[in-house]
Amino acid sequence: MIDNISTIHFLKEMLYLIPLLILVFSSMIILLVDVFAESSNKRYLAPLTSLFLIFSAISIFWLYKYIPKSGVKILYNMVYVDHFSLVISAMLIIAAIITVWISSDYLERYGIAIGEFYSLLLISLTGMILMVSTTNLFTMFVALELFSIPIYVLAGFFRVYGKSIESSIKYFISGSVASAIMLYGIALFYGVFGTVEFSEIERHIFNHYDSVAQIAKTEPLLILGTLLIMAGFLFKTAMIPFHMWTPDIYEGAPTTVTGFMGFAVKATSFAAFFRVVVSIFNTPSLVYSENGTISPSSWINVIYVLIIITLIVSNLIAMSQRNVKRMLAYSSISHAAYLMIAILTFSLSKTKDSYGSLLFYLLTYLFASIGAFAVLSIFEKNGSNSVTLENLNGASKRSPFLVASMLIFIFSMAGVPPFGGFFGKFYLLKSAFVDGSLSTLVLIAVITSVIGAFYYLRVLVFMFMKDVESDENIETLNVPFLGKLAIALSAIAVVYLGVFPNSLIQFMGETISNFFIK
Amino acid sequence: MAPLSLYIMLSTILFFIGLTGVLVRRNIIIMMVSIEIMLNASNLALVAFNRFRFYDSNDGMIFSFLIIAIAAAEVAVGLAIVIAIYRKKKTVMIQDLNVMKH
Repeated sequence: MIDNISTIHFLKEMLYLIPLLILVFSSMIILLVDVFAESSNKRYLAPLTSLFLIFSAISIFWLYKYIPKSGVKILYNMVYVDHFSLVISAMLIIAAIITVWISSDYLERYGIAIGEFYSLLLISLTGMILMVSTTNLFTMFVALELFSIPIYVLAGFFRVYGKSIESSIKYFISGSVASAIMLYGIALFYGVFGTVEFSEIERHIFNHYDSVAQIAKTEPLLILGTLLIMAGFLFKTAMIPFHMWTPDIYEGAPTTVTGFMGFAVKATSFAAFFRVVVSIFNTPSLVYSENGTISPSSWINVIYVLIIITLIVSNLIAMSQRNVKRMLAYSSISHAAYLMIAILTFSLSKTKDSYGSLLFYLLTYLFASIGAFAVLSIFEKNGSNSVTLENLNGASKRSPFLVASMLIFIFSMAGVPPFGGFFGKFYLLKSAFVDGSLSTLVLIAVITSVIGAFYYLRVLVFMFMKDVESDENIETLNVPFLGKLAIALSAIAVVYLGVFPNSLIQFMGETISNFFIK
Repeated sequence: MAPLSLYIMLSTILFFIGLTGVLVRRNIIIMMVSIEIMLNASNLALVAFNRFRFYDSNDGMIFSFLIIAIAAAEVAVGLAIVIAIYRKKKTVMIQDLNVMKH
């Protein structure tokens, strides 16, 4: 017998899952269409996928108006939809749309234009959105695997090229080890609290423990669990010393996948880590010792040291790279350090200034990074799946449009004033500096970003000032329509974020302050 | 019945056997087996905690089933990648996969 009330309740809960449901069903539809469509019609798969993605984005905008500011918990508290998760989801969907638009032509050039690509992309996106919209460690782990496994496959999508398949297995092994480590941490948390719901864990820590030293004495498993979960996140966000996989995988994976992976995996892991920090790690008894100072064995100190190492090492190694994809991999590691500064600022300072900086930085990074990889995917020589600095010689003659957009993306990543990346860095470092206790970190970040400018600008030097030796290579590149649209929109977005950052910063700040509505 | 601490000790030992296996062994298949051992260490810990500490609910046991399913999915994808590698390179040893070093 069907219980009418519970059915209605169930349908009402499904309403909040519409963005996810659209993605799940569309991934299946794309697979079916791919099987039954004639091969001449397969070029319509990319527009079809982006149509589904746009539907999903529209439903997110609608949900944003519909749900209360404190968010809604559905499916027996397993999924938590709030403004923060919707904002991150919107960013992820934008990233996916840009990736799909660029990939359609890119895959065709490699002769691998098949529907599984889009289907896997959509499944991975589903996992990402699920991961940012949950406050339950179990669900978070399942979502982590849901988005990782398709990404392993996507990284090895060019299975006839040695590099691609090699990067895939490397990502698979290191990624699975990281999830296994994180899972053990979650198991230990379950063992200590008997629950994996963030709010209940927070209440339990708050009621039972006073300081880090006391926890270490009475429940050492909790400290161990904290470290293991953090190690999992540090791996996914590619902080040094958990970064070893990044350069190889960024280089070997198909370039458009690298662009998607570089932003989306990072953004998802940071958003989820941010939730864990806000709800669990930020509990005073996990940070402070008995006399109210930050305990030397607290997780904050671990992160603090790792940020310094990451900032210095990643920028120094990036300088010596000749392969542009590898260089951007190291640059993404240094961006991870900046985002980590935002999280640290958030947990140490009590002012509202720091709220918007994490999300705003992610937004600027989204357009600059995916845009840069999109440009590279068009420049790369057929069959090589990589771009060296020499490949960019004389680029300004081959396609002025691509070079102009690359200039915008590179300036934004380097932090040159009129572009979005500058304001991302500026707000982030300003709020860290105002707080006071992080001023050393800010100083190091500023110095290393000057070092960073060197290798970013070198790309432009090769594009503008060097010419190719033989004349045969100077042929104008024809950029496909969808790719052109994606790159142009990203470039416009980067400029827009640089010229009118204020309203967005404020919007992002309000999104985060919703966390504290009880 | 054996006390909880023994179960947790066993699961910790299993976890480190798995971790060492991944770090030391060179064969991709063995590395995947080691990852399975790590996942099963978590399973054992979850089930033991559930049985001894929180016996009025079944959360830990249920989650261990989820982990078994996830591990199966992971291995399915992993083996597919290994087959693709074997077709391309005729080897499954990780030290032979060094195209990108240079």
